[in-house]
Amino acid sequence: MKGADLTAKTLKELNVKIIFGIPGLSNMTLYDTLVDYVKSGEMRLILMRHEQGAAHAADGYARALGKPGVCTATSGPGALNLVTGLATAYWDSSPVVAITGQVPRASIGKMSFQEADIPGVVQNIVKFVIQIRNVGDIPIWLYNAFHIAVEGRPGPVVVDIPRDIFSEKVVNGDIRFGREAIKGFRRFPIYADPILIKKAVEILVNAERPLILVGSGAVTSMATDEIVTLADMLIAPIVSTLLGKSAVPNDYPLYIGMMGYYGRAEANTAFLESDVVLVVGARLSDRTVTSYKDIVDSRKKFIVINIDPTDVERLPINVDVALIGDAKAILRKLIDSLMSIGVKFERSNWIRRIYEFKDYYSHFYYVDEDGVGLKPWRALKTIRGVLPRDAIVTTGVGQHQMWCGVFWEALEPRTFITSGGMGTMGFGLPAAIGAKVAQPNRVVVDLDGDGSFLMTMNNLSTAVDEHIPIIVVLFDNRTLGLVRQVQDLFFGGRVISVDFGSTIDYIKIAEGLGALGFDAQTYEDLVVAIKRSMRENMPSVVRIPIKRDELSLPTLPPGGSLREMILHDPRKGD
Amino acid sequence: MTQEKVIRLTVLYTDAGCIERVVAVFRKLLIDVNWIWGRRIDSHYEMYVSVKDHQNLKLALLNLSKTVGVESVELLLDAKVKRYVYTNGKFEKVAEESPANESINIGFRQFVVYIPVYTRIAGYRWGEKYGENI
Repeated sequence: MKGADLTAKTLKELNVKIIFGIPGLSNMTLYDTLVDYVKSGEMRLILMRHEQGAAHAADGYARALGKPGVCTATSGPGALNLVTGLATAYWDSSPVVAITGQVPRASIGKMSFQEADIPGVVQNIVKFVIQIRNVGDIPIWLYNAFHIAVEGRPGPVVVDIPRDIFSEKVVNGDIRFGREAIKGFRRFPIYADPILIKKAVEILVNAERPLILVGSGAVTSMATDEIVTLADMLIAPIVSTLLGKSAVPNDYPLYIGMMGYYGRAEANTAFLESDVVLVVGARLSDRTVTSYKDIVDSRKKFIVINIDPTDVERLPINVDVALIGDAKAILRKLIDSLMSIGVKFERSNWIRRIYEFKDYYSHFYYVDEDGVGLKPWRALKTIRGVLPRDAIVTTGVGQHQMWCGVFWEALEPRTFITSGGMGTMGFGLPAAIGAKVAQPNRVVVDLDGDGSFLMTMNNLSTAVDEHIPIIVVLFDNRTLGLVRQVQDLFFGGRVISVDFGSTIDYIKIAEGLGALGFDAQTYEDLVVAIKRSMRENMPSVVRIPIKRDELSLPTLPPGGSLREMILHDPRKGD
Repeated sequence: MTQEKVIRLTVLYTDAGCIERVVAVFRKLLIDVNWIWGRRIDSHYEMYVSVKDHQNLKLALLNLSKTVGVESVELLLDAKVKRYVYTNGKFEKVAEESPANESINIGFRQFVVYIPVYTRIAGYRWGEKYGENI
């Protein structure tokens, strides 16, 4: 047995069935070994068109399924191309395992052909990286990699394997198997004893305007039922972060919407006016709470549920109760405690006020039918109306992503997959490929912008070749819209280096890569195109025209507070 | 050196990158490092790091405490750093105000060591605190 055989055998033991990647000189021996696994149907290798796409696909797979996604690349440029995708997974706590080929041990550090110091490059943008030095260490580090990737706050792990190790003969007695404890890595403690639970419940019971803020940790924990039950019991409205959108059904009456920099105005207002906030699996990043001063000034109380105690400790606000552990388990304790008290809440004034916010701000959203292009909110509503409830949506990054944050209705857990922390353009399409492979019986749609799509669209060819029928809906405004918007609104209208020419034909691009292409000029066209895409069960691109200077609203001025929301187009005056 | 803070770490030694990982945590938070002392003991690496006090120091310690491979991170409270110079086969304590050991010792048979003397610790290990609060 060689190192490559040992790697493949261990991956099989770890129940790896899908690997996204591209072969090259330094991982070729592994691919050679995997031929037999592919022939026997035990594994599927999906050839991406760029390694960034491989990392995003593994990420999309992981987020859709809740299990690690695996990608591979050869040494040097191949592994370096994974970097953006790995950072994206790290910022959004997604369990990706990357196996990178490396030049032979004797060549490392000598500027060899296709050599890059991958441990050095990625060590600050992944949860952990290990370079294998002995062939017998392959199993234990692969086991450790998968364990580290999912335990606690999930994240990407890189296993870098020199290619001479792939070829080296394994002496059975030298193999370190197992799941032995990893030194320097522990499970986070659980701090949710009855005293803390009682204290949290007291605060919630005495609140006048309670609010539940859900983040990606609530999605990871699959805590939807518990959140909804608690909200019902407390009569507490819910807001979410961008990544937390699918933690609760967005059509649930107490869900207000995404809050934050580009969040719904009523969600931001509810957050500002609340007196108690129960934070479930959110780290209160600078995208969600743009100014901590807003919190300090309001003197609201915070109960924070997080799996990572250091995430609570680092917050520059006073946390009244920190409950450390898995969100689902802790919410269940809160529910049990509340049930034992049996309090009935009367919060009709607070709920009425929430609905007043909703009514008031809706006047700002659903306007401007000026006949130029399709309106993002209406396009999203149209798409939602066609798709099944459990359809999975991915996005790129830009204005279309913010429109999705505000207007898309995610209705089931793990059905809204987007690059939140890193804001990686080009994420949507390869992530959709990964999600579709993970959930082949679901409809998977990449709601993308033209700028994002252009960055990784080559992977559409993968979807065609591998029969992965994703649908790309392209919000085509011929510009890098979000940058343009900031230039337009906050740089005195000095728009530069953002607009694309009019010559790109996305339909021909789709067709040229073997996919279906649709040009939806009306909302009716959009319905027809998506229905046909689903019926044909083929990769498709549905292009919809969006006005070049369409804005993503609400927004804030750069560095602004949630109190400074811009609700309508300031270029049109008051 | 009144603003000096000394941190003691125990790190799993996988390769020399374990030292980089520790130092990078300070670099990423814009914290300057004054000196490092470390040694490998079998599969572990013991490190003492002196940094300038900084508003991001607590965050650095928290991040270190959940860095894979870092077994423990301890801030030595009330640490007074004593400086010794090893010259001509013997150690001599250097007065705090002395500039004697502040030059690069190229060409001299001189080795400067910093010895932290402290009373208490504030420790973190994967979310578990021990000792005093930071």
